[in-house]
Amino acid sequence: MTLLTQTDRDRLIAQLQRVETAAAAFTKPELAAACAAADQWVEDNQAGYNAALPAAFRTKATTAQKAILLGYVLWRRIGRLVAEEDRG
Amino acid sequence: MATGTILLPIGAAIPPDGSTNNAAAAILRVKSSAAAPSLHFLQANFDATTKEFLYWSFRMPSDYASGPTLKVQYKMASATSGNVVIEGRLAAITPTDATDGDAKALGSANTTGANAVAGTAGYVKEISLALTNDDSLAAGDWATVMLARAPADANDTASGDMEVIAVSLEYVTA
Repeated sequence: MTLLTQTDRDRLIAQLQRVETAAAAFTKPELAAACAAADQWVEDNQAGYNAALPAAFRTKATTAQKAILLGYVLWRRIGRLVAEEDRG
Repeated sequence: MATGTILLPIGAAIPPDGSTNNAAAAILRVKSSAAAPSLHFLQANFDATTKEFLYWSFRMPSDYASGPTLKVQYKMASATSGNVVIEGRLAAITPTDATDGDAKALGSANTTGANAVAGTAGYVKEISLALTNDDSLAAGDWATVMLARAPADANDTASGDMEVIAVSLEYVTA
């Protein structure tokens, strides 16, 4: 994976603001700076994340699948991922 | 002389067609979270990134003299800090003008400076914008008012949608 382009980041934060309605104390410039920092953090730490994955998964999963897994873990941790089983 | 008021209800707004540089603010019906019977109202959501527009078209009252001023009441969907900037334009045609109404362009922009949003999302504030560039507006004109948020303005820093709930055009009467 490579760093997002500026267009990618701009569209990311535009869509985030449309979807997320929780009270936001940060401004648009602060959000943009945070997006860039988060993207850079992913760039700087993707090797470490990859190394942390069990060898079996690491060797069989694609880069996209590893990213999806991390996304799912984060989404579940903040209560945003609802599985079919959660619906009883 | 007195102050005249033209109410510009959200429900009477004309959204543009969504073509390039003609994005429309979304008009939504909102239900209060208070117990039933619950307050319902319309609001126009102006995006934080894409410039969106709404229009109102009417006959300018006969008692109009000068000083058109937009009064815009709004609340923020999520922002609790930062500022918003709005833009207002007029298009005016006098019935005797040699002007094709189907080709009429808007007058020059009128823009506010930074307007600080409320410290709590959902709290209502009001912005006053003098339409100094008034396209030579006169009593009896076919008048069209354009309202937009200016999200690309460096002073427009508040995140999330600007939810406009009530708009009026005030003026000085003859």
